[in-house]
Amino acid sequence: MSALPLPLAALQSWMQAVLVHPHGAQAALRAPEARRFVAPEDVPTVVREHGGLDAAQRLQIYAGMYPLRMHDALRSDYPALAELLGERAFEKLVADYVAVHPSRSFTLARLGDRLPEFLAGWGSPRRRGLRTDVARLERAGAQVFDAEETVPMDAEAVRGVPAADWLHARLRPAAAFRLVRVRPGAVDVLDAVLEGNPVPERAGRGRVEVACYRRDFVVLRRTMGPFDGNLLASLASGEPVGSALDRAAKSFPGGFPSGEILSGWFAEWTRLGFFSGIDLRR
Amino acid sequence: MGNRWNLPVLGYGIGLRTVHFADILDRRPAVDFFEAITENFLDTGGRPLHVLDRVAERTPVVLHGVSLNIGSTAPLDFSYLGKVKELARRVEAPWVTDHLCWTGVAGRNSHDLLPLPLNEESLAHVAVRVRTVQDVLERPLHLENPSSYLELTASTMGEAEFLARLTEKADCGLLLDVNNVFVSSFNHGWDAEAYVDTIPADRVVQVHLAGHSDKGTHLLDTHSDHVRDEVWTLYERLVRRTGPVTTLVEWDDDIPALDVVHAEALMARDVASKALRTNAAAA
Repeated sequence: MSALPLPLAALQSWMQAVLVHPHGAQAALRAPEARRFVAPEDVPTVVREHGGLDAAQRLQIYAGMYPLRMHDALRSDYPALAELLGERAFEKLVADYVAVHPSRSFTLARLGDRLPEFLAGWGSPRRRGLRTDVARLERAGAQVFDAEETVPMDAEAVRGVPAADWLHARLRPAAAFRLVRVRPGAVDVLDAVLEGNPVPERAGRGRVEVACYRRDFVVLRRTMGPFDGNLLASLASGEPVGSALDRAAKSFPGGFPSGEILSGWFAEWTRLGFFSGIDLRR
Repeated sequence: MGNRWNLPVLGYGIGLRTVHFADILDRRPAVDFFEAITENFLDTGGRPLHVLDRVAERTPVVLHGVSLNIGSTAPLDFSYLGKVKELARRVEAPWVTDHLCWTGVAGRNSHDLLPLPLNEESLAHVAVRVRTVQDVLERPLHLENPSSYLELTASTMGEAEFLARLTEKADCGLLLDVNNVFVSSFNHGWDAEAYVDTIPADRVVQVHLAGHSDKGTHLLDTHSDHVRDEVWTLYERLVRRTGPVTTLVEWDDDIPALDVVHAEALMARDVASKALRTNAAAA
């Protein structure tokens, strides 16, 4: 029940309970979180009514902007997911997600950090895996966009590593690099949205490793092949080069990629700036 | 006339917005200064920070925050303040600004600029926090009057009086948003001219101008259009009191080409010049 005048802390707790309620100010005023501080009939003693708008309508101006702000922030970080879901389902997702994971950061750029994990348990099971993978790819892109600029490993440094040291060497991924294992259809969804084409809904068979990286501050994607993708995943996880190669060899036709193939992969990854350095400590 | 700290008058600037990044880097427009939204450049090492660094190399940059949460009863976020301090140092911002509002309690951020009751309790609470923030930042903090859509009955004084007393008590400056004065005055039935005449002119370090939208029952501070004539008139009235003052045009929605936004800043320069000529003639 009301205890007017409210101390500042209680007033702010009440206002927040009203303004971020998922069903708007009218419903919020009757909700227990708000009634703890102000009874619905006492609201006009807290918020001044004048100019043709009553207290609830004035609160609703703020309450109405809250979900729009959350929606815009997530729509901006997850445009392909929004296209895949369709606008109505995406709005529902935003409301459900924000109710569980409200913004606790000074920036809305962090709002969607946990969306992929949330999606794994949200909505109809149909295409859930595809939705989650699309979100994981988009989150990786956002992380790469915001990552610190690091100096990429240079080819000279690679050539300078003594042959005997390679087996135990570990490669340090660049800050602006993520490798994401997803259903191939997730890549198709992102490509379609980027090109303005209708969004395909097939998840595709198996999984592919997708490298997200940055060149000249532009976020880029590359879908890896099955063998270089596996090797890259092992290396990016911090596994020593020797055991990563052993693991890759098990899946490579003929037992082991040739030196020429391996050199080509390493040269390409170096050129694209996937790694920032080599750690030679055993 | 001029601000009491002799802080520099930076001229007539515009907000640094993503859609203009390429244009700004390529054409190097003769904008007097840029204002960056602080939070957009914290915890990022990508293109935005790169662009900000390039801009700051040749043009003054001030930082304008939206998450200081100065009016909240939640504790100040010193981790956030540390990041703001580092960014301000990086771009050599002559000052940092944020809003007289609160944005959340209990660890949540509504990302809205929520109104405070304008009374003695809020005054004491905010003043202490402003002093703490200025100590941490080691740089002037100026607070902006937000646009508001509701008034709390716990208020015991008008916003202009509150700002006058707060800036005195906390020894901080004012970023006076003239559009917000107009919007809030319309929404609450205040006298906008009396507001402008009441605020302590020597504490106004920066001015904001922007467009707003008419929602029928209220005005909404959308930053989505040209500055309205009534706001230009208020601005002219203000400049007659403050003298030359750092002025910035905000445009955040339906953002037009850089030249259009810059033209609005140049319009501010013309309006200010007219106000100053009027003063000179009267003298």
